[in-house]
Amino acid sequence: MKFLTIAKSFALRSITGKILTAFELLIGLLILFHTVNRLADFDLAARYTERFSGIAAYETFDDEAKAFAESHGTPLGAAYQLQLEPGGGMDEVSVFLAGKELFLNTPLELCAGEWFDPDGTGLAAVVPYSLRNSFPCGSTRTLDLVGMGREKVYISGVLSSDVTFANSGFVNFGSANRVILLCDPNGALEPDPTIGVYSYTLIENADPAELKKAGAVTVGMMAEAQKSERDHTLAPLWFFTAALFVLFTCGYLGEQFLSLSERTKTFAVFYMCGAPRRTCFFAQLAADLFWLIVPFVSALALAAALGVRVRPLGLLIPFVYLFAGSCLLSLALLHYVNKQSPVQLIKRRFYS
Amino acid sequence: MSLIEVKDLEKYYNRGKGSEFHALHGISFEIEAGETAALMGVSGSGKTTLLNILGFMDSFDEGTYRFDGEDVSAFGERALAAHRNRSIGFVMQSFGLILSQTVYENVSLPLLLNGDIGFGEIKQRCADLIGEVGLKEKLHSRTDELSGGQQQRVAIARAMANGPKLLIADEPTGALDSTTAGEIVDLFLKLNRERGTTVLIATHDERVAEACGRVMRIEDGRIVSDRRL
Repeated sequence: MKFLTIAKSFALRSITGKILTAFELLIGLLILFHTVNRLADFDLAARYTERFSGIAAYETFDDEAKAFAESHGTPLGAAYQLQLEPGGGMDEVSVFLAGKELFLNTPLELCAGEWFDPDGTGLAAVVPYSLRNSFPCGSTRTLDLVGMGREKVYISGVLSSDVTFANSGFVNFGSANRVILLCDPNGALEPDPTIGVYSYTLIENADPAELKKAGAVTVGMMAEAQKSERDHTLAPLWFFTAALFVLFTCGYLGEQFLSLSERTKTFAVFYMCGAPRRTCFFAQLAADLFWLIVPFVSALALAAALGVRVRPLGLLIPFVYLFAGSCLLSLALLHYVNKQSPVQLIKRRFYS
Repeated sequence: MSLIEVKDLEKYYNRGKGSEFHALHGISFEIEAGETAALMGVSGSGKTTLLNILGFMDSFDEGTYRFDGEDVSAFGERALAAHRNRSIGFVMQSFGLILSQTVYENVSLPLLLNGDIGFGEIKQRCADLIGEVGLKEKLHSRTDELSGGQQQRVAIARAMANGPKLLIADEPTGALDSTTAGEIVDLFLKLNRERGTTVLIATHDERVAEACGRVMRIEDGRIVSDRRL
């Protein structure tokens, strides 16, 4: 208790500045949580599309090209609606087979789990938020699909809201029509292409000249094309995330470094009053941690309130970075104070 | 009985290096418990180095230093810290206060570090000490809102918090006007008289030195005169 009171002496120096830097850190953390979540989604999408490695992809625009694609290859659309057998108690639930670009373009966010089972290759599904209790994340359920029979589905994730399908995409739309999104990395399901909405087609063993004549535009090898697209999107995202993070944390670290003189003198005053160097060191560190934990806890609470998903990595990286910075600074301070006479440190102008 | 007993004390800075500086040369003296003594000397004569050693803030290289009968060279880090906390009170020209904190918070610091005193007693003792130095109404004021004289009183109250045997003051009146300086010296003498605290004051000011019962002069790291008034 007394140690905390002593640490408070360090923690409450120039409190206005500390509150401001804590607030700045909080905003930076929220942005980081969000972007790390998006980056993790991209990463999963990348792993998903790697399964298409070596397969050529074509983009089809008009009906003629689409018809050609349907007759010559396996279309992979944004989504295919699958019919559930009636009477299963899921009348208000729709099932869509999600195409690969969903993972690159979707504005949807997960509040738990992943877009597909990272370790498995079978059917996986993400369920709307309102079905999270009926379809717990990590469980395996059976769906009765019209024309396909009973399929075992691994529930890999939960959407942060309920969605519906409109205008060739999924949108947040209350719980009017709850949609389960199926991911089929192995292509085990054979959906009816006529009820699908798609823009890409995977065609194997087709004559490129014939395809070109039909109006299909080559976009290259699927996985490679995706990698290029991903890199194009990810590189700036990583850059701006890192830049934003540095920007929002430089206030905290800067405040620490700029207050070095004040900290050494406080350290010396404590030493003069009978605190062993170890107590001074840990009191200083505890004070730094306090001003680190406050914005972290606040950011976590705000993220929960705003529905921003916090990935463990998004939490770990900034904490380790800032904690390591604080430890390093405290050690540097200890080293510096050990070399100086505490009286000389106190005598400097700051205190008089 | 001697509270301080130093014999052949030597202090070097950067010993063995090109920039070696021999700060103290064979310092020897004794100070009795309850005595008031002044240490006079020009800047760089070794006053502060000697006070730092006597106040357990710095180490010495050769000689012996016995404090209240105990050999200081045998003290470890913990024992030195405990003595700084309980046996020594340090007052400096630059006050050495944490300006962002209140008078109460500054004075309570050594009591918090003591470890054997409850919060209730800390509160009571702080209020008494702050009252004793005449700042009762400033108990919860921030120290940076106080005048120089008031800040020095806070520093004295903090130095006296654990009832030390020795009060060391390094140029305590150097930053104060003559009237305030006189009040501060009177306060030291009062603490010596009423509490029996041994007081050692380093000063340039002859008037301050004359108020003490003994004056030691130091030049180039050597005690050149020691007279009782």
